[in-house]
Amino acid sequence: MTATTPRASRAGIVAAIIRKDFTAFTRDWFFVVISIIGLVFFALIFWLLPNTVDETITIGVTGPGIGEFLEQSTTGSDGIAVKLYSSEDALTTAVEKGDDGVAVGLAFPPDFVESMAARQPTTVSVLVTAEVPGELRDAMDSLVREIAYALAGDTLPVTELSQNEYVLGTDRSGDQVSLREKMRPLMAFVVLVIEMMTLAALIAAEIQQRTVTAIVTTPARVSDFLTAKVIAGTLLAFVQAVILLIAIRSLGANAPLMVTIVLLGALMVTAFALIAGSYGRDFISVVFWSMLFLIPLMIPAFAVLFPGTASSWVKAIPSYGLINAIVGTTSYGDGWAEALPNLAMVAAWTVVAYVIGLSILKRKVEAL
Amino acid sequence: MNLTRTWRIMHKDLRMGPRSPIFLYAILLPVVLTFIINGVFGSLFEPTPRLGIVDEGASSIVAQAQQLEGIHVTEPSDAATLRKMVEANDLDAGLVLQSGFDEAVRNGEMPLLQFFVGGESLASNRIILSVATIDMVRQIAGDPAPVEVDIVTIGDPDQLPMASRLLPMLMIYAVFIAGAFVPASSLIEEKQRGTISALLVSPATVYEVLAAKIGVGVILATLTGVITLAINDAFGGDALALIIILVTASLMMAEVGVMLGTWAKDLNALFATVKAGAILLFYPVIFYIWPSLPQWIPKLSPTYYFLQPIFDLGVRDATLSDVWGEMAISLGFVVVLAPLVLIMARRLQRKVAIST
Amino acid sequence: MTTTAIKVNGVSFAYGDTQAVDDISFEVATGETLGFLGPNGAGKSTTIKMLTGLITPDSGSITVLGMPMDTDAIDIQARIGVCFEEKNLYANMTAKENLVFYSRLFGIKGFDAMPLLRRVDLVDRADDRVSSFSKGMRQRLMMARCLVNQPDVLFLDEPTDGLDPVSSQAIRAVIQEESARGAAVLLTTHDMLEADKLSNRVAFINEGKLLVLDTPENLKLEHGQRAVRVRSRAGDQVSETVIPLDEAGAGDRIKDAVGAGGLMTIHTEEATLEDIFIKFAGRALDT
Repeated sequence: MTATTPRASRAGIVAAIIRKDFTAFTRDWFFVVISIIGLVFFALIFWLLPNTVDETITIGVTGPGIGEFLEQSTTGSDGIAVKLYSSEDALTTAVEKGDDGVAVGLAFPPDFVESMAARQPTTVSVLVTAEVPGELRDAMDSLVREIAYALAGDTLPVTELSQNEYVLGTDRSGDQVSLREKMRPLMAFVVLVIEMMTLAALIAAEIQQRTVTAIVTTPARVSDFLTAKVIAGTLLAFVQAVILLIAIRSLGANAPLMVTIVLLGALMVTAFALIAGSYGRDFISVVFWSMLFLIPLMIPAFAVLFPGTASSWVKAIPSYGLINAIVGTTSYGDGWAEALPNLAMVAAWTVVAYVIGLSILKRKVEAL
Repeated sequence: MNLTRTWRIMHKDLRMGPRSPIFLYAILLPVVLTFIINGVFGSLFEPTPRLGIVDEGASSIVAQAQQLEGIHVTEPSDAATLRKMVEANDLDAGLVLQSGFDEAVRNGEMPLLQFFVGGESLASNRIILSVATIDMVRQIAGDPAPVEVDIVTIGDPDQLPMASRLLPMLMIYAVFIAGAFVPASSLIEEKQRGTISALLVSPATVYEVLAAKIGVGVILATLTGVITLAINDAFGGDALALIIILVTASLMMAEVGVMLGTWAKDLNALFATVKAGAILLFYPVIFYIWPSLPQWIPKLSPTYYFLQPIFDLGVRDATLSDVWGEMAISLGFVVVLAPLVLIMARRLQRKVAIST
Repeated sequence: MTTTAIKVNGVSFAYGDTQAVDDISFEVATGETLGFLGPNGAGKSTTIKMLTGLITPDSGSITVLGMPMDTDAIDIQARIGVCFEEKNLYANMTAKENLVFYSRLFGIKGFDAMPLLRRVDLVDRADDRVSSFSKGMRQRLMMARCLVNQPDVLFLDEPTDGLDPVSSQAIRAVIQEESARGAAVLLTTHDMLEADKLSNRVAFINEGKLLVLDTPENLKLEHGQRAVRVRSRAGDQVSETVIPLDEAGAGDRIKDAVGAGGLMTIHTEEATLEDIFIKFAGRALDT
């Protein structure tokens, strides 16, 4: 008969399953290489995105004296840049081709200043291409009239607010959040959710091939199996997300906070992977189920690309807190205090997702 | 090759198809993407200036503002709410019109213009909203400027809106998933389940099997393409030419799909290859979104030669005579891929024979 | 000295409205091999699942190695080996890696997979991935895996199903070695030849019920028909006579048949377990 069989500790069993999971994952070297290529690709896309925000309307101007008047009037404003042209033909060419970034052209007649001083009506041409939006055309229309008023000596019939009352909140003019910056949370989140699909596929394979049955007829429990999957899945997603964040220089000044955020994100997507893996019968159905979660989870990441506060329904999505925390930390320098409410929300959603995911997977395994 | 047998295999795949999630994806996802692009992405690339107005008296500015083209006007309930919205960047600028504002302007009383902007608003939007507001105030004052403005449109008057420029992205997605991914995954499943062996020991030849997969891809991709064009209001004009180019596009993608399906050993490998390699087929769509980029670059991709005709036919109301050149090249790619498909077919037969 | 390794008492289990196992009771001693014979869907695999702790019986009790299953499942699982009907191996891992991983679940430190792989004749394929293995090789690896923890009880679910004769023989040799070592073996099969060769006793199970449990010899003696088959030639004609031994005058008839001349062959026949099963169950093993 056998000698007394040593009993494995729970931690030892979980560690063995995790080790096996990583072996299985890394054994498919082709998949690993392609995952690496994917990470490189995302990083490349990130660095190719524009890092500046074009918030300046470049106006081409022709007409003696007007250009200098406009330049003086707009000094210190980030919204308007003035380019002077010697003739209307040169201005027309510049507007048509977009030379020097000119969006619109203002062709003032040679005697415009004198005409305005004498309040003699005259005509100014505003040159635009078809793609100039209506609001910009109207604005140029209004601007020309304001120039005329100014030169004619007509002051504004209202009192304006002082400069410090004029801008509400931190003035980010000239320092706007670029598209590249806005894409950080989206990039990190895409990596997380793609690994969600990988983990879901691994779980589905264990169920379909019944290898989980072999595990639970040993001293290993279903809970050990589930714990190992959670740890392995979270680590896989977390490590890849951190690598990407390093590649796109997004750990920033508050690296511990960013790492915490990404870890929470990895935990969350793992929970959804448990559900997708439980229901997936094969790889394609796993992708299908994963996408059911992936698409709504990605919505907050897209929402940050738009100005303003997200709608209430977007805030209700589990990943919203995560995205908000990433944006706050990377774009606005938020610290732990500002991030904490978001992290608490993410943690709460993660707990809910785990309760559901673990119970579904547990039932699935026990039913085999 | 026996067409009846090929049709029978195709019929089986078409019948079984709706049970497969990827089949449903191929049909549904272009619809979902269209919704996202049109409903959600509309303001991503062209954010319109947003103005909030609180009118505490019966000012005519509100009516004027609502006539402004390209400016999104909101009327919050009170000034405090307006300020919060501006500060949160839900609005670019806010205007509070106190009671009797219009009267005060007309009487030359120089009332306070409570116009403020959000710190996160773009400087260009601030300029636009500022001058628009000042212009509206001037109109109340009733003192016309001594100048007439003549807006002259130069260059191409037919520049397209972003939603139209995103159509190629929808089309490549629809055609690729339905035309390439469905046959590829179907082939791999047949290999994994062993049903391919059962087919190949019947009178059906490997060429008939692949032809059937291609047939399914073509039917599905053409159907998905038509649906996508229709829901994007781009299936007007020369419908026959559109269908011809859709069929050609579907054929090309289906050939790619069966080659992927014979080559990839499992769905993991297929998915990973698509993840890494599909960019070569998809990248031309970037050049429609940003037409200022060098336009010779997308011509290096074979998908350009069906995307461009679809774009011209669906969006620019071109006719067959305008696009026949690119269509011919597209068909050329289909012809060039055919021998490769035959080589992959023989390879598949050898692999199945060895593994059985 | 033998002791009771497995004790099943009045155990039942239903999947919804389907009674998969219905009030079965039996015991298996240490060193004994019990063959569980029955057609597909008879309840064999369900019985194994209950005995290995995968499912809990609706009623009745199970004791393995003196320990109740409902309270000591983990301790029991530490001392049993299970070979499933499905080849649930990790295809992307090598044979050695599959065994080493499994050993870690039992807390075995410094496990050397090579002796086990040698035993099942897979030592040359130790570092090859299971995905490259044939069906027979996978089954041999499954056998090796269920022996990783040197179990006191072996549960083998259709261990030779669909295998070639060489692989089947290798598996049977291992089973016999384990039984000789003192392990109790519960073996399910619908191959009556295998059950006959390997089992000390066989149990017939059909539609969830245990029909009979005895040694193969006793079953054949009590329920089977023995006979002598005599083949003779007369000119061009070959005739065959079957003489049941249990009938009166059998001996005389045998003498007459032999004495009639032209004797070609004479064989004794005994009932097969399948014949006996059909008698009990009213159906064949493979229907």
